Amino acid sequence: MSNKAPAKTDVLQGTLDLMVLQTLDALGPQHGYAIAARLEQVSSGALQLNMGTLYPALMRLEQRGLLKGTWGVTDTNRKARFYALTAAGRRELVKEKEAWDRMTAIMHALLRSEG
Amino acid sequence: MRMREWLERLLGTLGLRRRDAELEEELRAHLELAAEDAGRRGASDGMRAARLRAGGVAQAMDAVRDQRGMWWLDQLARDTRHGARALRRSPAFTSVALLTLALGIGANGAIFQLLDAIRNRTLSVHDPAQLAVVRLADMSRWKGRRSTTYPALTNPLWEEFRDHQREFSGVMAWANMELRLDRSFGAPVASALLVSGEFFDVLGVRAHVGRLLTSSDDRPGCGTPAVVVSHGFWQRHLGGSPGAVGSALSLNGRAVPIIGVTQPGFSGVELGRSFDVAMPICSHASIGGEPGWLTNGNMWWLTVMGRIAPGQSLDQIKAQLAVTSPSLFEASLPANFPPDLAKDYLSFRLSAAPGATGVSTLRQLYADPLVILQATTALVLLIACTNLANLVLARASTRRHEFALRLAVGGSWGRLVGQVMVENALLSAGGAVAGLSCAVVLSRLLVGLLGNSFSLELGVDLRLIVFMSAVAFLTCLTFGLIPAWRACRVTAADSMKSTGRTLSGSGESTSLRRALVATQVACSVVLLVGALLFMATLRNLLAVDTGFDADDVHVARIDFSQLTVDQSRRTALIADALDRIQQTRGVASAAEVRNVPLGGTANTMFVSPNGGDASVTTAVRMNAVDPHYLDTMGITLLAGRNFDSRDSRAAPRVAIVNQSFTRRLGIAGPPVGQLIRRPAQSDVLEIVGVVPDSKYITLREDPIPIILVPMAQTVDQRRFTDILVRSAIPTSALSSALTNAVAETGAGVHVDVKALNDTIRDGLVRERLMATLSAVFGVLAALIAAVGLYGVMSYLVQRRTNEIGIRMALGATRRTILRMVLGEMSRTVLIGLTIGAAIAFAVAGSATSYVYGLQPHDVRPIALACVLLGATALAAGWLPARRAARLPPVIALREE
Repeated sequence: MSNKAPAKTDVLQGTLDLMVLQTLDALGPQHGYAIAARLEQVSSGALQLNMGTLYPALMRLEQRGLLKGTWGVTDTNRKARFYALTAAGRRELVKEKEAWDRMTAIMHALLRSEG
Repeated sequence: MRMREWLERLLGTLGLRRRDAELEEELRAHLELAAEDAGRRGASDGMRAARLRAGGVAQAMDAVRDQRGMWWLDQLARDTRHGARALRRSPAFTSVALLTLALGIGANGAIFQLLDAIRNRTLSVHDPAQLAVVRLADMSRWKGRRSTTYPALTNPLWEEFRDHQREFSGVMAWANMELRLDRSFGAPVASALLVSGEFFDVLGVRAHVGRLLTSSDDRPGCGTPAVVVSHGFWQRHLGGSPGAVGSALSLNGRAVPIIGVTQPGFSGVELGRSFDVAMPICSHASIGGEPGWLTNGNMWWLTVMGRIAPGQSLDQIKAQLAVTSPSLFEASLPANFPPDLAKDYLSFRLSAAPGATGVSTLRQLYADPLVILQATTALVLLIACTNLANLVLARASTRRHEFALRLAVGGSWGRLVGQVMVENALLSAGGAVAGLSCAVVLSRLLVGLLGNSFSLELGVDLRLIVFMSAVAFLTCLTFGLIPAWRACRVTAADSMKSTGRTLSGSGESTSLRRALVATQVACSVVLLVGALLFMATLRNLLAVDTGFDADDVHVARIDFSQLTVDQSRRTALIADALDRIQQTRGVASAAEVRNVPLGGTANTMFVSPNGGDASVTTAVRMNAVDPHYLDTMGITLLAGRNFDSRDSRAAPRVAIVNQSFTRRLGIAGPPVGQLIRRPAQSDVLEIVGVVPDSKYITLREDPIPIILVPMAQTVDQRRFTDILVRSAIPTSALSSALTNAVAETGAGVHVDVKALNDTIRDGLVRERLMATLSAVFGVLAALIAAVGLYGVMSYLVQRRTNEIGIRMALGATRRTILRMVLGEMSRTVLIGLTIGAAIAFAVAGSATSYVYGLQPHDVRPIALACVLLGATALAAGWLPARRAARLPPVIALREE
C-alpha cells in the first residue's frame, strides 16, 4: 500500500478531464476501455492511457457529479461499467471548451509573435 | 462542486462508497476488453499486450483508492491503529501517562466547570440576555437598612418605579425569605421568593401545572392568598402529583393554597440558591416578615430587574434612567426623613447592570478565588506534562533503533514525527476522556466544600467539552512535540550502530531533561509558596484576637415567625425565654444581642460629636445588647459602667463605645459622660462606658468604631432574635436543654443552637477552601516533581555507569562518586528553585487581597518552600546516586 500522496499532474489532469468529457459527449455512454481506445485512436496511438491514470480521473469526475457510472453489458456480452455525462457534466464541458479555446488562442498569438 | 468532491471522498474514506472488489472488477473488465481487442488485431498473447498498454491492476488500484478517499485520513487511521498497538505493548508507561493526564486534565476541568457555572451561566428563563438589574448608580451616600447583599430598592421606591417607568418592556422585583415548613416535611425550612406580580411574566416562565402569580395577586393588604412551588420542590416534597395544586401548604404555621408549579429547570434568579416556593410581595408581613417593610422608605430589600425592549440597549436605558430618576426619588421621598437624609435621598440616581446571569453571593465570593485555583491546576498539569515529556523522551530513546531502521528503508522523517504525535494524541485523548469523569466527581466534591448554604447544579455541557479538548490538545503539544521531534532526529546510519558506549551523560538529550526538571521544580516552588500563603492566612485568621472570648459561647436563635405577635408581646416573650435560658442548668450567662459578632450582620449609625457641626456625620457600627452581653462575651469595661435596669425605654439614651470610636470621633478627655449626637433621630446619647476594640463583621477588619446601645432603648421588630449563651455543655446537649426551656414559655417558638466558634468558622469557608486545595495541589506538585527528578537521575546514572566504573577503577572513592552525582543534580535543582522563587516573589503581590497577616513580599514562605522542595529533591536524587556509588567497578565497566 502506498504511503505517498498521489502524484501531482495538474496540467494533464485538466486536459484529461476535458478529453473524457468530450469523448462521452461525442459517443454517448461508454465504458473505460472504450474511452481509452477512442483517445488512442484519435491521437493515432500517441496517447496510451494507463488504467492508473484513467480510472482515478473517471472517479474524480464522478465524485464531482459530472459523470454517472452504471454497470451494464457490452456488445460482446461482457460486464462493464458505463459512464454517462450528467447535466452538470454537459455544462462543465461547454465551460471547459470555451476556456480551452481562449487559452489556445492566447498561446497561438504568443508563439506566433515570438517567432 | 469542490465541496461535493470532498464529501464524496470523506464518504469514500469511511467505506461508504464503491468497495475494493467492485473497483477491481472494473479494472479486470478493462484488461479483458483490451485483451479481446488485441487478440482481434492478431496479437499472440492478448492479455500480455493489454497489460503492457494499460498497466497492472494492483498499481491502478492504489491510484483509484487514493482518489476514492482522502489519503491523509487513511494514513491517520493507519497511524492510529499502529499507535494504539505500540501503547498496548508498554502497559506500564501507558497507564502512568493516562493516570497523570486524567488527574491533571480532570482537576482543570473541575475548576473550569465551577468557574464557568459561577461566572457565565445565564438564568434558565426566556432570553436572559435582555434582562437587567436596576440599582442605585452610586451607593457612597446611601444610608438605611438593607436585608440583602444584592442591589436593592425600597418597596415605595419600587412601586413608584413600576408605575411610571417607560425604559423597560417589563419590570419585576423579588426578595429572599425563609419560611418554616410543617414538621412532616423532610426539610425544616423552605427557601422562599417574595415576588412582584410581574415576576414570572417578565422572566417568561410558564406554569407546569396550575397557574403562576400575576399582578392581580400582588395587591396591598393581600394577606396570604397563594403560593407557587418550584418544579423541584413539587417533585421532592409533593410527590409530583397534579393534585397538590389546590391543596394548602403550611408555611410559618399558616395554610397557604398552592396555585401552581413552575416549569422544570427554572430555579430562580439567583445562582447558587434555588427557590422552593414563591409568594407575592404583599404577603410579606402576613407570612411572618418584619412588619412595615412594605411602607418603610428606609428598608432596602427588593432586587429589581427589567426586561430590555427589543432594539433598546443597556446604555440607552442607563441614560434614560439618569433623566427620570429625580422625579422618581422626589415622588417616593418618605415624609418622615430629616433634611440631611432627604437631601441624600434626592441625589440618588438609578442605573442598570446586565442581568443575564442573575445575582449571586456565590459569584461575589468565589469568582476570583476560582481563577487563582484555575491557575494552580494549570501549573499542576504543566508539571505533570513535563514529567510525561521526560517519560516520552525516555521511551523514544529506546526506540531510536526502530526509527533509524524505518528511515533506512525509506520512511520519511515527517511521517515518523507524525506517528509519534499520533501516539501522544491518543494518550491525551484518553486522558481527557478519563479526565472528564474525574472532573465531574471533583467538581461535586468542590461544591460540597463550599458548604451547604449553596446549591449548584453542574452538568457536562459543550463548553466543558470544548475546554477539555483544548486542554488535551495543548497538553499533547506540551509533552509530545519536543520529545517527538528529538526522538526522530536520527539518521539512517544510526541503525547500524549499536547503543554504544557513551562516555559522559552530557549531550543535548540530557540537557533537555535537566531543563524539564528545572521547570518542574520552578512550578512546584510557585505552587508551594501559594499553598503556604493561604495556609498561613487561615492560621492567622483563626489566631486573630477577636477582642472577646468565643469559647463556650453558643448562639441560640429564637424564631417566632410562626406566631402573630405584636410589639409589646414580643418584648415580653423574649424576656420570658431569656429568663428561662438563664435558669437552665449549666448556663453561666445569657444575653440578647441584635447582631452576633462575626455572624455576618451589622447595623450602622450616623453620629457626630456633641457641639460639632451636626451636618457632618461619621458612620459607626452599632449593636444593640442587653446588660449581660459584656459578661457573656468576656469583655471587660475599661472605664465607666455597664448597662443595667436603669437604662429603660423611658430613661435618657446611653451608649458604651469602644476605643476606636473615641479616636475616630476625636473625643478629648475621658469619654465617660460625654454626649454623642444622632442627627437622623435628633437626639443625644451619653457615653457611660468604654470597652476595648473587638471584631464585628469580619476577622480581617482593622479595628472599627463600634457603639453599643441598650436593647431596651431600641425598636426591634424582627421575627426572631439571637441569644448568646455561655455554657460549658456540648452544643447538642445544650440545644435540647434550651429547646425544653423555651418550650416552657408555651409560645410554640423554635430554637436553633450553634457554637459561636462554628459560626465564625463558617465565615472562613473561602479561606479554608483555598488553603486546603492549594495545599493538596502544592504537595501533589512536589511529589510529581520528585518522581520526575528520580526518573531523570536514574537515567543519568544508568547512562554514566561506564564512566563511573572507569572513575572508580582509576581510584575514585564512593564518596567522590556520590558527591559528583548529587552535585550535578543540585545544579539543576538550584536553577529551578531560583527561577521559581523569582516568579513566586513577583506574583505573591497580586494575591494580597486573599492573604492576611503577611507582608506582600514576605520572603519566609518562599524560603520555606525552597527548603521543602530542596529536601524532597535531595531525597529523590539520593537513591540513584547511592546506587551509582555502590556499583562494583568490574560490573560497571562491563555494562553496555
